[in-house]
Amino acid sequence: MTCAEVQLLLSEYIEKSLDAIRMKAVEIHLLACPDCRAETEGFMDCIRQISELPLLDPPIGFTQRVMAHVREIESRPSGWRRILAPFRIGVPIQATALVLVAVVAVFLYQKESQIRGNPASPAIPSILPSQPLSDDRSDDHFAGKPEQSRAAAEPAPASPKQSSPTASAIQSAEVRKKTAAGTEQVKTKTPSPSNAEPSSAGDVKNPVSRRGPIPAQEVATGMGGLQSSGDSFRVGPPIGGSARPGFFLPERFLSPIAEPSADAEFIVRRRETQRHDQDGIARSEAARQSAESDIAPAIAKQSPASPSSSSSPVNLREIRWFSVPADQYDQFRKDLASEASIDSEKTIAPSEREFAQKSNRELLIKVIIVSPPAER
Amino acid sequence: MNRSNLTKEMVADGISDAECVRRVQRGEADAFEILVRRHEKTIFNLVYRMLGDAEEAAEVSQEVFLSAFRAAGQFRGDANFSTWLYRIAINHASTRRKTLNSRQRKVVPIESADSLHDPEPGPLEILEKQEIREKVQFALNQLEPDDAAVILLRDLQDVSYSEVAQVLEIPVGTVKSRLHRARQALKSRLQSYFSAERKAV
Repeated sequence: MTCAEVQLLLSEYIEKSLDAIRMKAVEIHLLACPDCRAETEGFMDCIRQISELPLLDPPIGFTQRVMAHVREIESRPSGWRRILAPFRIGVPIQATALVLVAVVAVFLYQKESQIRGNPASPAIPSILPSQPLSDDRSDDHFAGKPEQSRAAAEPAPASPKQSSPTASAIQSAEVRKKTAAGTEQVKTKTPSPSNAEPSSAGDVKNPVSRRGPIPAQEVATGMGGLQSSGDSFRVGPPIGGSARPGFFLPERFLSPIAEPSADAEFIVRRRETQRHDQDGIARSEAARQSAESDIAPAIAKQSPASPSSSSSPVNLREIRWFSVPADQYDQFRKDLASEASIDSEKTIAPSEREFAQKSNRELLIKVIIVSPPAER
Repeated sequence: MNRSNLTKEMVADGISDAECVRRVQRGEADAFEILVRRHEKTIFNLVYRMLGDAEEAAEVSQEVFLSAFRAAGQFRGDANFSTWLYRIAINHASTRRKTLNSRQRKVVPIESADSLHDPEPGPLEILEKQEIREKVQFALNQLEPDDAAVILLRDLQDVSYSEVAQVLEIPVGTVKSRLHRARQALKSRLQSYFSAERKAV
Protein backbone atom coordinates (compact mmCIF):
# COMPACT_ATOMS: atom_id res chain seq x y z
CA MET A 1 0.00 0.00 0.00
CA THR A 2 1.25 3.42 -0.87
CA CYS A 3 1.04 6.41 1.46
CA ALA A 4 -1.61 8.04 -0.76
CA GLU A 5 -3.77 4.95 -0.61
CA VAL A 6 -3.37 4.70 3.14
CA GLN A 7 -4.16 8.33 3.73
CA LEU A 8 -7.42 7.92 1.87
CA LEU A 9 -8.39 5.23 4.33
CA LEU A 10 -7.16 6.90 7.49
CA SER A 11 -10.47 8.45 8.41
CA GLU A 12 -12.20 5.11 8.28
CA TYR A 13 -9.23 3.38 9.91
CA ILE A 14 -9.52 5.65 12.91
CA GLU A 15 -13.21 4.89 13.17
CA LYS A 16 -12.45 1.20 12.68
CA SER A 17 -15.06 1.04 9.97
CA LEU A 18 -12.74 -0.62 7.42
CA ASP A 19 -12.99 -4.29 6.66
CA ALA A 20 -10.53 -6.55 8.47
CA ILE A 21 -8.16 -7.01 5.56
CA ARG A 22 -7.69 -3.31 4.92
CA MET A 23 -7.52 -2.52 8.62
CA LYS A 24 -4.55 -4.87 8.82
CA ALA A 25 -2.94 -3.45 5.72
CA VAL A 26 -3.15 0.13 7.01
CA GLU A 27 -1.85 -0.95 10.37
CA ILE A 28 1.18 -2.59 8.83
CA HIS A 29 1.86 0.47 6.71
CA LEU A 30 1.61 2.81 9.67
CA LEU A 31 4.13 0.81 11.62
CA ALA A 32 6.65 1.37 8.88
CA CYS A 33 5.73 4.94 7.83
CA PRO A 34 6.25 7.82 10.27
CA ASP A 35 4.69 10.34 7.88
CA CYS A 36 1.48 8.44 7.73
CA ARG A 37 1.59 7.98 11.49
CA ALA A 38 1.80 11.73 11.90
CA GLU A 39 -1.06 12.13 9.51
CA THR A 40 -3.10 9.65 11.50
CA GLU A 41 -2.40 11.52 14.69
CA GLY A 42 -3.50 14.72 13.02
CA PHE A 43 -6.81 13.14 12.09
CA MET A 44 -7.31 11.68 15.54
CA ASP A 45 -6.53 15.02 17.09
CA CYS A 46 -9.01 16.67 14.81
CA ILE A 47 -11.77 14.23 15.65
CA ARG A 48 -11.01 14.51 19.33
CA GLN A 49 -11.14 18.29 19.19
CA ILE A 50 -14.60 18.17 17.78
CA SER A 51 -15.90 15.46 20.04
CA GLU A 52 -14.49 17.24 23.08
CA LEU A 53 -16.31 20.41 22.30
CA PRO A 54 -18.59 21.01 25.25
CA LEU A 55 -22.28 20.65 24.62
CA LEU A 56 -23.96 23.86 25.64
CA ASP A 57 -27.40 24.04 27.14
CA PRO A 58 -29.92 25.91 25.08
CA PRO A 59 -30.86 29.29 26.48
CA ILE A 60 -33.21 29.19 29.44
CA GLY A 61 -36.83 29.17 28.39
CA PHE A 62 -36.06 27.97 24.89
CA THR A 63 -38.84 25.35 24.85
CA GLN A 64 -41.37 27.79 26.29
CA ARG A 65 -40.55 30.34 23.65
CA VAL A 66 -40.85 27.80 20.88
CA MET A 67 -44.16 26.56 22.24
CA ALA A 68 -45.50 30.08 22.57
CA HIS A 69 -44.82 30.56 18.87
CA VAL A 70 -46.32 27.17 18.10
CA ARG A 71 -49.57 28.10 19.83
CA GLU A 72 -49.59 31.37 18.00
CA ILE A 73 -49.31 29.51 14.70
CA GLU A 74 -51.99 27.13 15.87
CA SER A 75 -54.53 29.77 16.79
CA ARG A 76 -53.97 31.63 13.58
CA PRO A 77 -56.28 30.10 11.04
CA SER A 78 -54.12 29.65 8.03
CA GLY A 79 -55.49 27.73 5.15
CA TRP A 80 -58.00 24.95 4.89
CA ARG A 81 -56.13 22.52 7.04
CA ARG A 82 -56.38 24.67 10.12
CA ILE A 83 -59.99 25.54 9.44
CA LEU A 84 -60.95 21.95 8.91
CA ALA A 85 -58.73 20.56 11.62
CA PRO A 86 -61.50 20.33 14.22
CA PHE A 87 -63.81 18.60 11.75
CA ARG A 88 -61.30 16.23 10.34
CA ILE A 89 -62.53 13.37 12.41
CA GLY A 90 -66.15 14.42 12.72
CA VAL A 91 -67.10 14.60 9.06
CA PRO A 92 -66.46 11.49 7.05
CA ILE A 93 -65.78 11.94 3.40
CA GLN A 94 -68.92 10.06 2.38
CA ALA A 95 -71.15 12.49 4.23
CA THR A 96 -69.39 15.42 2.65
CA ALA A 97 -69.82 13.90 -0.78
CA LEU A 98 -73.49 13.20 -0.13
CA VAL A 99 -74.16 16.78 0.90
CA LEU A 100 -72.32 18.02 -2.15
CA VAL A 101 -74.31 15.79 -4.48
CA ALA A 102 -77.56 16.88 -2.88
CA VAL A 103 -76.69 20.54 -3.26
CA VAL A 104 -75.79 20.08 -6.91
CA ALA A 105 -78.96 18.11 -7.55
CA VAL A 106 -81.17 20.78 -6.03
CA PHE A 107 -79.35 23.43 -7.99
CA LEU A 108 -79.79 21.61 -11.27
CA TYR A 109 -83.41 20.90 -10.52
CA GLN A 110 -84.11 24.55 -9.91
CA LYS A 111 -82.26 25.52 -13.03
CA GLU A 112 -84.30 23.07 -15.03
CA SER A 113 -87.56 24.34 -13.59
CA GLN A 114 -86.55 27.85 -14.44
CA ILE A 115 -85.85 26.95 -18.01
CA ARG A 116 -89.07 25.04 -18.34
CA GLY A 117 -91.06 27.73 -16.62
CA ASN A 118 -89.77 30.50 -18.81
CA PRO A 119 -89.92 29.60 -22.45
CA ALA A 120 -88.61 32.96 -23.52
CA SER A 121 -85.56 32.56 -21.37
CA PRO A 122 -82.45 33.48 -23.28
CA ALA A 123 -80.43 31.17 -21.15
CA ILE A 124 -80.65 28.41 -23.71
CA PRO A 125 -79.54 29.38 -27.15
CA SER A 126 -82.14 28.58 -29.70
CA ILE A 127 -80.32 25.65 -31.05
CA LEU A 128 -83.42 24.28 -32.49
CA PRO A 129 -84.74 26.15 -35.42
CA SER A 130 -87.27 28.37 -33.87
CA GLN A 131 -86.94 31.82 -35.22
CA PRO A 132 -88.79 32.68 -38.35
CA LEU A 133 -86.73 34.00 -41.16
CA SER A 134 -87.27 37.46 -42.41
CA ASP A 135 -90.00 37.77 -44.91
CA ASP A 136 -87.95 38.35 -48.00
CA ARG A 137 -85.66 35.60 -47.09
CA SER A 138 -88.38 33.13 -46.55
CA ASP A 139 -89.87 34.07 -49.83
CA ASP A 140 -86.57 33.75 -51.47
CA HIS A 141 -85.95 30.53 -49.84
CA PHE A 142 -89.23 28.87 -50.13
CA ALA A 143 -90.88 30.43 -53.10
CA GLY A 144 -89.97 27.64 -55.44
CA LYS A 145 -90.12 25.00 -52.89
CA PRO A 146 -92.30 22.05 -53.07
CA GLU A 147 -93.95 23.36 -50.04
CA GLN A 148 -97.18 21.71 -49.58
CA SER A 149 -100.37 23.34 -48.78
CA ARG A 150 -101.37 21.79 -45.68
CA ALA A 151 -104.78 23.11 -46.04
CA ALA A 152 -105.33 20.91 -49.01
CA ALA A 153 -104.59 17.75 -47.20
CA GLU A 154 -105.64 18.76 -43.81
CA PRO A 155 -108.07 16.25 -42.54
CA ALA A 156 -109.93 18.70 -40.46
CA PRO A 157 -111.14 21.29 -42.90
CA ALA A 158 -109.72 24.60 -42.05
CA SER A 159 -108.86 27.78 -43.74
CA PRO A 160 -105.25 28.14 -44.90
CA LYS A 161 -104.72 30.75 -42.36
CA GLN A 162 -105.91 28.58 -39.61
CA SER A 163 -103.82 25.70 -40.79
CA SER A 164 -100.72 27.75 -40.72
CA PRO A 165 -98.71 26.55 -37.80
CA THR A 166 -97.44 29.92 -36.90
CA ALA A 167 -98.97 30.18 -33.54
CA SER A 168 -96.38 29.41 -31.06
CA ALA A 169 -96.99 27.00 -28.32
CA ILE A 170 -97.35 29.72 -25.82
CA GLN A 171 -99.53 31.77 -27.99
CA SER A 172 -101.63 28.79 -28.71
CA ALA A 173 -101.92 27.94 -25.12
CA GLU A 174 -102.76 31.41 -24.12
CA VAL A 175 -105.12 31.86 -26.95
CA ARG A 176 -106.88 28.72 -26.06
CA LYS A 177 -107.19 29.86 -22.55
CA LYS A 178 -109.18 32.75 -23.75
CA THR A 179 -112.14 30.51 -24.38
CA ALA A 180 -114.30 31.02 -27.40
CA ALA A 181 -112.38 33.96 -28.73
CA GLY A 182 -109.37 31.73 -29.12
CA THR A 183 -109.88 30.73 -32.68
CA GLU A 184 -110.42 34.27 -33.74
CA GLN A 185 -107.25 35.35 -32.08
CA VAL A 186 -105.29 32.68 -33.78
CA LYS A 187 -106.59 33.95 -37.03
CA THR A 188 -105.59 37.47 -36.34
CA LYS A 189 -102.23 36.54 -35.11
CA THR A 190 -101.33 34.33 -37.94
CA PRO A 191 -100.27 36.92 -40.48
CA SER A 192 -98.13 38.87 -38.08
CA PRO A 193 -94.59 39.19 -39.48
CA SER A 194 -92.96 37.78 -36.45
CA ASN A 195 -94.74 34.57 -37.07
CA ALA A 196 -94.57 34.73 -40.80
CA GLU A 197 -94.62 31.20 -41.95
CA PRO A 198 -93.17 30.51 -45.33
CA SER A 199 -95.84 28.03 -45.96
CA SER A 200 -98.25 30.88 -46.26
CA ALA A 201 -96.43 31.91 -49.35
CA GLY A 202 -95.99 28.36 -50.37
CA ASP A 203 -99.61 27.71 -50.00
CA VAL A 204 -100.34 30.23 -52.57
CA LYS A 205 -97.44 29.81 -54.92
CA ASN A 206 -97.06 26.13 -54.90
CA PRO A 207 -100.12 24.44 -53.67
CA VAL A 208 -98.86 20.96 -54.42
CA SER A 209 -99.36 18.98 -51.35
CA ARG A 210 -96.63 16.59 -50.40
CA ARG A 211 -97.90 15.39 -47.18
CA GLY A 212 -100.68 15.91 -44.88
CA PRO A 213 -100.23 17.88 -41.76
CA ILE A 214 -100.21 16.17 -38.51
CA PRO A 215 -103.63 16.33 -37.07
CA ALA A 216 -102.39 17.32 -33.73
CA GLN A 217 -102.65 20.25 -31.51
CA GLU A 218 -99.45 21.36 -29.96
CA VAL A 219 -100.19 22.45 -26.52
CA ALA A 220 -96.96 23.21 -24.83
CA THR A 221 -93.29 23.38 -25.41
CA GLY A 222 -90.52 22.67 -23.02
CA MET A 223 -87.19 24.40 -22.79
CA GLY A 224 -86.52 28.03 -23.32
CA GLY A 225 -86.00 30.05 -26.43
CA LEU A 226 -88.57 28.07 -28.24
CA GLN A 227 -91.36 30.49 -28.28
CA SER A 228 -92.11 30.08 -31.91
CA SER A 229 -91.41 26.42 -31.90
CA GLY A 230 -94.72 25.80 -33.50
CA ASP A 231 -93.11 27.12 -36.62
CA SER A 232 -90.07 25.06 -36.56
CA PHE A 233 -91.46 21.71 -35.81
CA ARG A 234 -94.43 21.30 -37.90
CA VAL A 235 -96.12 18.62 -36.05
CA GLY A 236 -99.37 19.86 -34.93
CA PRO A 237 -100.82 22.92 -36.47
CA PRO A 238 -103.88 23.89 -34.58
CA ILE A 239 -106.76 21.93 -35.76
CA GLY A 240 -109.61 24.17 -36.48
CA GLY A 241 -111.97 24.18 -33.62
CA SER A 242 -110.44 21.21 -31.98
CA ALA A 243 -108.63 23.26 -29.45
CA ARG A 244 -110.43 23.06 -26.22
CA PRO A 245 -109.74 26.17 -24.31
CA GLY A 246 -108.25 25.64 -20.96
CA PHE A 247 -107.96 21.96 -21.44
CA PHE A 248 -104.25 21.95 -20.96
CA LEU A 249 -102.25 23.75 -18.46
CA PRO A 250 -100.22 26.59 -19.80
CA GLU A 251 -96.68 25.61 -20.32
CA ARG A 252 -95.32 27.39 -17.32
CA PHE A 253 -97.22 24.98 -15.17
CA LEU A 254 -95.63 22.02 -16.77
CA SER A 255 -93.03 21.82 -14.11
CA PRO A 256 -91.75 18.37 -13.31
CA ILE A 257 -94.21 18.22 -10.45
CA ALA A 258 -97.27 19.39 -12.29
CA GLU A 259 -96.40 17.62 -15.50
CA PRO A 260 -99.33 15.61 -16.75
CA SER A 261 -98.68 12.04 -17.60
CA ALA A 262 -98.60 11.56 -21.30
CA ASP A 263 -100.61 8.87 -23.01
CA ALA A 264 -97.75 8.30 -25.38
CA GLU A 265 -94.19 9.45 -25.41
CA PHE A 266 -91.72 9.79 -28.25
CA ILE A 267 -88.06 10.58 -28.28
CA VAL A 268 -87.26 11.91 -31.70
CA ARG A 269 -84.15 13.17 -33.36
CA ARG A 270 -84.12 15.92 -35.88
CA ARG A 271 -82.56 14.87 -39.09
CA GLU A 272 -79.23 16.28 -40.01
CA THR A 273 -80.40 17.31 -43.42
CA GLN A 274 -83.13 19.31 -41.91
CA ARG A 275 -80.78 21.85 -40.61
CA HIS A 276 -78.78 24.50 -42.27
CA ASP A 277 -76.77 27.43 -41.21
CA GLN A 278 -77.69 30.90 -42.02
CA ASP A 279 -74.82 31.19 -44.41
CA GLY A 280 -75.58 27.86 -45.96
CA ILE A 281 -79.03 28.66 -47.20
CA ALA A 282 -78.27 28.29 -50.84
CA ARG A 283 -76.53 25.01 -50.35
CA SER A 284 -79.24 23.66 -48.19
CA GLU A 285 -81.77 24.93 -50.62
CA ALA A 286 -80.16 23.11 -53.47
CA ALA A 287 -79.83 19.98 -51.48
CA ARG A 288 -83.38 20.21 -50.44
CA GLN A 289 -84.64 20.71 -53.91
CA SER A 290 -82.58 18.00 -55.40
CA ALA A 291 -83.65 15.65 -52.74
CA GLU A 292 -87.20 16.73 -53.19
CA SER A 293 -87.36 16.47 -49.57
CA ASP A 294 -90.59 15.67 -48.04
CA ILE A 295 -89.63 17.53 -45.00
CA ALA A 296 -91.18 20.72 -44.05
CA PRO A 297 -88.62 23.44 -44.58
CA ALA A 298 -89.64 25.17 -41.50
CA ILE A 299 -88.04 22.52 -39.45
CA ALA A 300 -84.75 23.27 -41.05
CA LYS A 301 -84.89 26.87 -40.27
CA GLN A 302 -82.08 28.00 -38.16
CA SER A 303 -82.38 30.91 -35.92
CA PRO A 304 -80.64 33.82 -37.58
CA ALA A 305 -79.59 34.94 -34.19
CA SER A 306 -77.53 31.86 -33.67
CA PRO A 307 -75.80 30.98 -36.87
CA SER A 308 -73.30 28.86 -35.06
CA SER A 309 -75.87 26.95 -33.16
CA SER A 310 -75.64 24.01 -35.47
CA SER A 311 -72.40 23.12 -33.81
CA SER A 312 -73.47 23.99 -30.35
CA PRO A 313 -74.55 21.42 -27.81
CA VAL A 314 -76.53 18.70 -29.48
CA ASN A 315 -78.12 17.08 -26.55
CA LEU A 316 -80.29 20.00 -25.82
CA ARG A 317 -83.75 18.68 -25.56
CA GLU A 318 -87.04 20.18 -26.32
CA ILE A 319 -90.25 18.82 -25.04
CA ARG A 320 -93.46 19.31 -26.91
CA TRP A 321 -96.86 18.34 -25.88
CA PHE A 322 -99.54 17.52 -28.36
CA SER A 323 -103.13 16.68 -27.99
CA VAL A 324 -104.33 14.40 -30.71
CA PRO A 325 -107.77 13.02 -31.28
CA ALA A 326 -107.59 9.37 -30.51
CA ASP A 327 -108.64 8.34 -33.97
CA GLN A 328 -105.86 10.38 -35.52
CA TYR A 329 -103.08 8.96 -33.43
CA ASP A 330 -101.74 6.78 -36.21
CA GLN A 331 -101.66 9.70 -38.57
CA PHE A 332 -99.82 11.74 -36.01
CA ARG A 333 -97.26 9.07 -35.51
CA LYS A 334 -96.71 8.73 -39.23
CA ASP A 335 -96.25 12.41 -39.64
CA LEU A 336 -93.92 12.56 -36.73
CA ALA A 337 -91.85 9.80 -38.23
CA SER A 338 -91.55 11.69 -41.48
CA GLU A 339 -90.65 14.84 -39.63
CA ALA A 340 -87.96 13.34 -37.49
CA SER A 341 -86.50 9.99 -36.75
CA ILE A 342 -88.06 8.36 -33.79
CA ASP A 343 -85.47 7.14 -31.40
CA SER A 344 -87.80 5.49 -29.04
CA GLU A 345 -91.41 5.57 -28.20
CA LYS A 346 -93.69 4.59 -25.45
CA THR A 347 -96.85 4.08 -27.31
CA ILE A 348 -100.34 3.93 -26.01
CA ALA A 349 -101.93 0.64 -25.15
CA PRO A 350 -104.57 -0.36 -27.72
CA SER A 351 -107.22 -0.85 -25.10
CA GLU A 352 -106.61 2.54 -23.64
CA ARG A 353 -106.71 4.06 -27.03
CA GLU A 354 -109.97 2.43 -27.79
CA PHE A 355 -111.36 3.76 -24.61
CA ALA A 356 -110.14 7.24 -25.39
CA GLN A 357 -111.66 7.00 -28.79
CA LYS A 358 -114.97 5.97 -27.36
CA SER A 359 -115.01 8.71 -24.80
CA ASN A 360 -113.96 11.18 -27.48
CA ARG A 361 -110.91 12.12 -25.48
CA GLU A 362 -107.80 13.57 -26.98
CA LEU A 363 -104.57 11.84 -26.36
CA LEU A 364 -101.79 13.71 -24.70
CA ILE A 365 -98.54 13.00 -26.44
CA LYS A 366 -95.18 14.01 -25.19
CA VAL A 367 -92.47 14.46 -27.80
CA ILE A 368 -88.93 14.85 -26.63
CA ILE A 369 -86.88 16.31 -29.41
CA VAL A 370 -83.18 15.67 -29.39
CA SER A 371 -80.94 17.60 -31.68
CA PRO A 372 -79.10 15.72 -34.37
CA PRO A 373 -75.88 14.03 -33.46
CA ALA A 374 -72.75 16.09 -33.47
CA GLU A 375 -70.77 14.16 -36.02
CA ARG A 376 -70.22 16.42 -38.93
CA MET B 1 -34.80 1.96 10.78
CA ASN B 2 -33.18 -0.61 12.93
CA ARG B 3 -33.96 -1.66 16.46
CA SER B 4 -31.32 0.44 18.09
CA ASN B 5 -32.71 3.54 16.46
CA LEU B 6 -36.17 2.74 17.66
CA THR B 7 -35.08 2.11 21.19
CA LYS B 8 -33.02 5.25 21.06
CA GLU B 9 -36.15 7.12 20.12
CA MET B 10 -38.06 5.89 23.10
CA VAL B 11 -37.66 7.97 26.19
CA ALA B 12 -38.71 7.81 29.80
CA ASP B 13 -42.28 8.91 29.17
CA GLY B 14 -42.65 6.02 26.78
CA ILE B 15 -43.86 8.02 23.81
CA SER B 16 -41.79 7.64 20.69
CA ASP B 17 -40.94 10.53 18.43
CA ALA B 18 -43.12 9.03 15.75
CA GLU B 19 -46.09 8.90 18.10
CA CYS B 20 -45.53 12.52 19.09
CA VAL B 21 -45.45 13.55 15.46
CA ARG B 22 -48.67 11.64 14.83
CA ARG B 23 -50.32 13.50 17.68
CA VAL B 24 -49.07 16.80 16.34
CA GLN B 25 -50.50 15.86 12.96
CA ARG B 26 -53.83 15.21 14.65
CA GLY B 27 -53.76 18.73 16.03
CA GLU B 28 -52.33 18.11 19.50
CA ALA B 29 -49.83 20.92 19.64
CA ASP B 30 -48.81 19.95 23.16
CA ALA B 31 -47.22 16.78 21.85
CA PHE B 32 -44.76 19.00 20.07
CA GLU B 33 -43.42 20.19 23.38
CA ILE B 34 -42.14 16.69 24.09
CA LEU B 35 -40.26 16.76 20.81
CA VAL B 36 -38.79 20.18 21.50
CA ARG B 37 -37.58 19.18 24.93
CA ARG B 38 -36.13 15.98 23.59
CA HIS B 39 -34.19 17.52 20.73
CA GLU B 40 -33.48 21.11 21.73
CA LYS B 41 -29.99 20.45 23.01
CA THR B 42 -28.85 18.45 20.02
CA ILE B 43 -30.23 20.95 17.56
CA PHE B 44 -29.00 23.96 19.47
CA ASN B 45 -25.45 22.58 19.64
CA LEU B 46 -25.40 21.53 16.01
CA VAL B 47 -26.54 24.97 14.93
CA TYR B 48 -24.26 26.69 17.40
CA ARG B 49 -21.22 24.85 16.07
CA MET B 50 -22.17 25.59 12.54
CA LEU B 51 -22.55 29.29 13.27
CA GLY B 52 -20.15 29.89 16.15
CA ASP B 53 -22.54 32.32 17.77
CA ALA B 54 -24.82 31.29 20.63
CA GLU B 55 -27.29 34.10 20.12
CA GLU B 56 -27.68 33.39 16.46
CA ALA B 57 -27.90 29.71 17.25
CA ALA B 58 -30.81 30.22 19.66
CA GLU B 59 -32.68 32.19 17.05
CA VAL B 60 -32.02 29.72 14.27
CA SER B 61 -32.85 26.74 16.50
CA GLN B 62 -36.19 28.24 17.28
CA GLU B 63 -36.82 28.68 13.58
CA VAL B 64 -35.86 25.05 13.03
CA PHE B 65 -38.50 23.83 15.46
CA LEU B 66 -41.15 26.15 14.13
CA SER B 67 -40.43 25.00 10.59
CA ALA B 68 -40.71 21.43 11.76
CA PHE B 69 -44.04 22.19 13.38
CA ARG B 70 -45.41 23.89 10.29
CA ALA B 71 -44.25 21.04 8.10
CA ALA B 72 -45.30 18.29 10.51
CA GLY B 73 -48.02 17.24 8.10
CA GLN B 74 -45.41 16.37 5.51
CA PHE B 75 -43.49 14.11 7.86
CA ARG B 76 -44.42 10.62 6.77
CA GLY B 77 -42.43 8.68 9.29
CA ASP B 78 -40.24 6.88 6.76
CA ALA B 79 -37.23 8.32 8.55
CA ASN B 80 -36.49 9.14 12.16
CA PHE B 81 -37.85 12.41 13.36
CA SER B 82 -34.33 13.34 14.46
CA THR B 83 -33.05 12.74 10.94
CA TRP B 84 -35.70 15.02 9.58
CA LEU B 85 -34.98 17.63 12.21
CA TYR B 86 -31.23 17.50 11.53
CA ARG B 87 -31.90 18.15 7.89
CA ILE B 88 -34.03 21.18 8.66
CA ALA B 89 -31.39 22.45 11.10
CA ILE B 90 -28.55 22.08 8.61
CA ASN B 91 -30.54 23.86 5.93
CA HIS B 92 -31.38 26.73 8.22
CA ALA B 93 -27.86 27.00 9.62
CA SER B 94 -26.28 26.90 6.17
CA THR B 95 -28.53 29.68 4.98
CA ARG B 96 -27.83 31.77 8.06
CA ARG B 97 -24.13 31.19 7.74
CA LYS B 98 -24.04 32.59 4.26
CA THR B 99 -25.61 35.83 5.41
CA LEU B 100 -23.37 35.93 8.49
CA ASN B 101 -20.25 35.32 6.45
CA SER B 102 -21.04 38.05 4.00
CA ARG B 103 -21.64 40.37 6.96
CA GLN B 104 -18.49 39.33 8.80
CA ARG B 105 -16.27 39.67 5.78
CA LYS B 106 -17.11 43.31 5.62
CA VAL B 107 -16.01 43.78 9.19
CA VAL B 108 -13.14 41.34 9.49
CA PRO B 109 -11.01 40.85 6.38
CA ILE B 110 -9.74 37.32 6.00
CA GLU B 111 -6.05 38.36 5.90
CA SER B 112 -6.34 39.93 9.31
CA ALA B 113 -8.01 36.87 10.77
CA ASP B 114 -4.72 35.11 11.47
CA SER B 115 -3.09 38.09 13.11
CA LEU B 116 -6.25 38.66 15.08
CA HIS B 117 -6.01 35.19 16.46
CA ASP B 118 -2.30 35.35 17.01
CA PRO B 119 -2.31 34.33 20.61
CA GLU B 120 -1.47 36.90 23.13
CA PRO B 121 0.92 35.31 25.64
CA GLY B 122 -1.07 34.32 28.68
CA PRO B 123 -1.54 31.49 31.14
CA LEU B 124 -1.02 28.23 29.35
CA GLU B 125 -4.11 26.61 30.88
CA ILE B 126 -6.43 29.20 29.43
CA LEU B 127 -4.80 28.85 26.08
CA GLU B 128 -5.04 25.10 26.34
CA LYS B 129 -8.75 25.01 26.98
CA GLN B 130 -10.33 28.20 25.80
CA GLU B 131 -8.14 29.17 22.90
CA ILE B 132 -8.09 25.74 21.36
CA ARG B 133 -11.87 25.61 21.33
CA GLU B 134 -12.00 29.01 19.81
CA LYS B 135 -9.60 27.91 17.13
CA VAL B 136 -11.57 24.77 16.45
CA GLN B 137 -14.72 26.81 16.15
CA PHE B 138 -12.97 29.29 13.92
CA ALA B 139 -11.73 26.45 11.72
CA LEU B 140 -15.24 25.01 11.54
CA ASN B 141 -16.58 28.36 10.47
CA GLN B 142 -14.09 28.41 7.65
CA LEU B 143 -15.25 25.09 6.27
CA GLU B 144 -17.94 24.69 3.70
CA PRO B 145 -21.30 24.35 5.49
CA ASP B 146 -21.72 20.81 4.15
CA ASP B 147 -18.29 19.81 5.39
CA ALA B 148 -18.90 21.35 8.78
CA ALA B 149 -22.26 19.59 8.94
CA VAL B 150 -20.86 16.15 8.17
CA ILE B 151 -18.09 16.55 10.74
CA LEU B 152 -20.45 17.81 13.41
CA LEU B 153 -23.02 15.10 12.82
CA ARG B 154 -20.43 12.36 12.90
CA ASP B 155 -17.89 13.56 15.46
CA LEU B 156 -19.95 15.82 17.71
CA GLN B 157 -23.34 14.14 17.64
CA ASP B 158 -22.10 10.63 16.95
CA VAL B 159 -24.72 10.04 14.29
CA SER B 160 -24.32 6.79 12.37
CA TYR B 161 -23.10 6.79 8.78
CA SER B 162 -26.44 5.63 7.49
CA GLU B 163 -28.31 8.34 9.32
CA VAL B 164 -25.87 11.01 8.16
CA ALA B 165 -26.53 9.71 4.65
CA GLN B 166 -30.26 10.16 5.24
CA VAL B 167 -29.86 13.61 6.70
CA LEU B 168 -27.75 14.87 3.83
CA GLU B 169 -29.66 12.74 1.32
CA ILE B 170 -26.51 11.28 -0.17
CA PRO B 171 -25.23 7.67 -0.37
CA VAL B 172 -23.22 6.28 2.53
CA GLY B 173 -20.14 6.02 0.30
CA THR B 174 -20.38 9.71 -0.41
CA VAL B 175 -20.70 10.40 3.30
CA LYS B 176 -17.40 8.58 3.92
CA SER B 177 -15.49 10.40 1.23
CA ARG B 178 -16.97 13.74 2.17
CA LEU B 179 -16.19 13.15 5.82
CA HIS B 180 -12.61 12.31 4.97
CA ARG B 181 -12.23 15.40 2.84
CA ALA B 182 -13.83 17.59 5.52
CA ARG B 183 -11.60 16.22 8.25
CA GLN B 184 -8.58 16.81 6.09
CA ALA B 185 -9.61 20.42 5.56
CA LEU B 186 -10.21 20.89 9.27
CA LYS B 187 -6.93 19.20 10.18
CA SER B 188 -4.87 21.38 7.89
CA ARG B 189 -6.46 24.50 9.35
CA LEU B 190 -5.99 23.39 12.92
CA GLN B 191 -2.42 22.32 12.27
CA SER B 192 -1.53 25.70 10.89
CA TYR B 193 -2.82 27.34 14.05
CA PHE B 194 -1.14 24.91 16.33
CA SER B 195 2.18 25.16 14.54
CA ALA B 196 1.92 28.95 14.83
CA GLU B 197 1.26 28.50 18.52
CA ARG B 198 4.20 26.24 19.03
CA LYS B 199 6.42 28.75 17.34
CA ALA B 200 5.10 31.45 19.62
CA VAL B 201 5.61 29.30 22.67
